[in-house]
Amino acid sequence: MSTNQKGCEFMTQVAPADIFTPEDINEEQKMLKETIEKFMKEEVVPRADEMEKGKIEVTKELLKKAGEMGMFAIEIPKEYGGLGLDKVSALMVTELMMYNASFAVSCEAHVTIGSYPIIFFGTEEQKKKYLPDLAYAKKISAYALTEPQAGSDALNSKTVATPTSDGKYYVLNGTKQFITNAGIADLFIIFAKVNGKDFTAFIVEEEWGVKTGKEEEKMGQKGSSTRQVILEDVKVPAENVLGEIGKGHKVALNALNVGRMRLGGSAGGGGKLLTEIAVKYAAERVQFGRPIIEFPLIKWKIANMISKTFAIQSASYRTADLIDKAQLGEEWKAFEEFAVEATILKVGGSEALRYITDEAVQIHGGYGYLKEYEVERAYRDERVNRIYEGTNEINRLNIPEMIIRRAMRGRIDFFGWVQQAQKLIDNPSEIKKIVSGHTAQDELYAIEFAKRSLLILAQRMFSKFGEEIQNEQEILAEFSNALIGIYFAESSVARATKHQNKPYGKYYENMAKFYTHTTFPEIVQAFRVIESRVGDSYGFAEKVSSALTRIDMISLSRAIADETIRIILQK
Amino acid sequence: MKILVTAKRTPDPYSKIKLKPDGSGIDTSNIKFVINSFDEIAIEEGLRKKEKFGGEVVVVSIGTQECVEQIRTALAMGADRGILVDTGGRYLDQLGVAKILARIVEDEKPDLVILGKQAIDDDANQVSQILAELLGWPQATFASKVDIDLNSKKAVVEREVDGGIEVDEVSLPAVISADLRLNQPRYASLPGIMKARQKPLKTVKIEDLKVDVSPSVEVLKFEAPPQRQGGKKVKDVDELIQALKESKVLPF
Repeated sequence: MSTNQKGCEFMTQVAPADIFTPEDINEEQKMLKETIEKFMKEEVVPRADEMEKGKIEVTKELLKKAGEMGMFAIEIPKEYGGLGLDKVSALMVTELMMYNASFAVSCEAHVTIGSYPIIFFGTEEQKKKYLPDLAYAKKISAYALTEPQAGSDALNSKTVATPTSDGKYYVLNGTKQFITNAGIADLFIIFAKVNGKDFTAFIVEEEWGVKTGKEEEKMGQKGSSTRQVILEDVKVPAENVLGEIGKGHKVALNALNVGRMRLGGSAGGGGKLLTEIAVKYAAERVQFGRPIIEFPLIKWKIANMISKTFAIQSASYRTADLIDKAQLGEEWKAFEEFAVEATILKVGGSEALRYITDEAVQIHGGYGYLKEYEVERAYRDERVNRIYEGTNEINRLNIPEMIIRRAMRGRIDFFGWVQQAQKLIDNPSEIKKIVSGHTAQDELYAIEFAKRSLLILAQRMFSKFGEEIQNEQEILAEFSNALIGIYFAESSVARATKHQNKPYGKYYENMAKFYTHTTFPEIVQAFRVIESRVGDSYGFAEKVSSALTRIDMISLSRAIADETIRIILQK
Repeated sequence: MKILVTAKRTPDPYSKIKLKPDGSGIDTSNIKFVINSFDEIAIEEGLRKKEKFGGEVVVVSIGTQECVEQIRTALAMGADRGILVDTGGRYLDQLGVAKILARIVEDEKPDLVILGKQAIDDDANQVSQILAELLGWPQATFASKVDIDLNSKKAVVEREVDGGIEVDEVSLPAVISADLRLNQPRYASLPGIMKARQKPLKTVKIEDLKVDVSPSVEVLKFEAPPQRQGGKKVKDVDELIQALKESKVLPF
């Protein structure tokens, strides 16, 4: 794959056969993985009950321990005491943190939105002062953007930063809401409006007078600290402005790009663990004289859970690697370049995890409803993934908005892509040609057909509504749904193609096929909804629907489940 | 001081062990391998002594090329260099292993050798004792505490014995074997993992050591322990007594 691959280009390219996959990690990354997995199992998992009771001091202790090991140094550049490792390594670690979701979210808040703003936009002095401590959790960080009245509408901030008359300080006043790590943080990335108008980011040390509210009683992730952050005349030195005055949105949004990408990691890691838990339970639970795992309907669930996990992981490792390979000078630009893909991971990953968690509970039956079983906790922990890092609704609207903006600025040749798509749709045999040689080529054909059709339909949608498109939220969201399905499915097929000659090649092929067939109806549904609004003269919904050749889903499901069960139970 | 430690490649104690159908060994195809748990404690102790007194920790593993994984882990924990004795996969008994280690010790001339008291795979608990004998060095086995006095070149070692703690004093160089409660091994740090790649790792072919390792112990067969029988519910005390008599728990 070209190292200069650009964001959104998957919309006009055939899924490359050499995407980066979880199997491609090197020896060092394997060792990293084993070490962290050991730490999670031996240090974090045994403390889960304490954390669940809201003992945030335990979470803090574990963050410190993880920090000493270097878990948060991964992405800190070497010149500031970190390890300067790649995003693939970081993603791998994010997956493993999901052995405990409360621990995971605390780590994420510290690294992703707590440290990255400084990595991205800190001055040399700020980086030198803060990054070495953040790398080893000598200081714990939090990110304070949301306010009681400013959630999705984050720029509607009421927090004010007033410069002192000598210009040496800013005095911060306001209240922040739902701040992860608030109760354990030494450092806050706080957003406020200078003189009530210029939205700006600040690095604020806790000891300068930051107060926090009481611990919120949450539905899940109870081991993480979530509080209000209360700023009453907190004096912040002018040199602690992060980025430029009035450019706070740049800091805020770019940090979220990192978070969204990594939520793919959390979803993939969570999906894998929950599938394992469900399989182990189903192998033990006997009903009608047989372990319930032998029943085809349970196998169907397992095939779905593992195929979705496979899809999330395929898409997220692919994306992390694209960001690693982007050579755009400043690091934030690499994340920004792939912000559409990252948003896809956030929405698609969190919703796939919702499905997987729900089925894990269902497989446990009544026991899954009891606190004694960890799927009950997972069920509550999972819910917030669809709310934070931008709600899935906001993110669904962001995807087409980013694409339109890039097209208008000439960053992507959207109209060229549409023209090319039109040519392919007019000559489906051309599509057949480009997908030949791939594993699951019938499925890839359908994905490509849908992808090109979506481009054409999107152009029609954008041109029909012009500026008014922002009021057409339903079809914008459906556009995103189709794109998410396409990106996940084609990443699965690409991963299966890459490993087609391995002993597990057939298993991967089966999962890629199964995922495509189960997600395709949602893609078709998206076309139906969009066409109902913009006109169906192309008849895409029906064409896309018939582009996918039917297969024997039942044999596929049973084969996937049997292999999954074999792998999990022999561990 | 220079300390030599060992890192035997053994199955992860949490893995499910299955036997090969012919009973010739365990089925290793789906097993994760780790450093023998007691060796890990030995490595940790070596590192702590190095941190206190300075010097060098050299880690030795005997086996196939796959043992590089365990050596790298020890290097990531903080050991300075590694030696792999490549056996080409041949079977060694405890005497053979001790002879190889003795040969390495002759070359390396460490002040102290620390080994796990036994390996969690064969549980033989012999190598450290045989090694001390071969070297003619003092030994302190099952150490639960090790204090070193560099001036007098002595080690004071506590051993947990039935009914109390035995305190032994050995002069250095010596062989010490590590018991479970000697310490809590650290996790390899991430910076340590990154550094491990650059640390020296030497591979020595077993033939080149010119040691007679022809085994005097022969492994005949592996057998799984008998499966536990399910319990049985009894109605009342009379039936319980009857059942206990039948199973010869009660003598009359």
